[in-house]
Amino acid sequence: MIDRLILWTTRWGNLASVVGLVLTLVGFAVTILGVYRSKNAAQSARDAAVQTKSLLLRSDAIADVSAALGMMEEIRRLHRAGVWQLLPDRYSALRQKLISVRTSNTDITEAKLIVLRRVSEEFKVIERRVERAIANGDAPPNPAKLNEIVGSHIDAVSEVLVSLKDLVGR
Amino acid sequence: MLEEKLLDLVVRLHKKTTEKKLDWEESEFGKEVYETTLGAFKVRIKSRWDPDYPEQPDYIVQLVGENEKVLEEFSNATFRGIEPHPYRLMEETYTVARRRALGVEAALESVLDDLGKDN
Repeated sequence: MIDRLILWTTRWGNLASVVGLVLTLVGFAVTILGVYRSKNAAQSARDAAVQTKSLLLRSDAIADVSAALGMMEEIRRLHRAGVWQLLPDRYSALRQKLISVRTSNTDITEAKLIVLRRVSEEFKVIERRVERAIANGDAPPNPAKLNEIVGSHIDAVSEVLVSLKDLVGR
Repeated sequence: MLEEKLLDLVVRLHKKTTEKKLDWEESEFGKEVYETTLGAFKVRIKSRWDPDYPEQPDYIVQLVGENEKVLEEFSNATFRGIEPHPYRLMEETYTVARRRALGVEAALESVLDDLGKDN
């Protein structure tokens, strides 16, 4: 009787140990999977936040470049009207806008950044020339050429705008 | 009317030049003058330094006929008052024509190859 009892408990005890081991292993696997999934979820949330920030920066850059183009059109009108006194402030505001685009953290290519820098620098030269003319009570030399130059810059900055819009579209 | 045709010429010349469909060469009629042959005529392009705007030279285009006779000459100043102004088109045409005539791309490839070998 006692032998039978010992045999029975040994058999079921071994079975219980095996079942216990299996359950432990399964539990362990489930825990690891849970940790992995929550890590991925956190990473996904971080990625989404970065993407949203990037999209916002690109949208800001598009708004700034569009504003810069509007400013250049206004500058062209003022050149045509010969309203030189108003122009230095306009040139300065435009350059600030272009600098803002260049320094914001967007995915603008190096080539386009160079375009924006070149346009900004050339408006600085124009600003100095116009300021000198104003100080002398004159119009700047060859005013008609100024609008050719501004037109050329409008074309160049328009291309930057197109490439920014393409980036947002992706 | 003539101005419209000249503008058309600038636009088409720019397109064909940037598409690398024209053979530009150095012209013997001046330093930094480049020309391409189109049918029985030649088109020449050159830049002229503008002391008022040193960073923005003027660009001059000539239509040349038989016996090197210049039939028509115009520049960006010809199109003053027109918008959009073709200054940038003329600037790009000149720059690309110059590069093609001087073989700049081939020279760059060769230099880059040599620099690559040293690595």
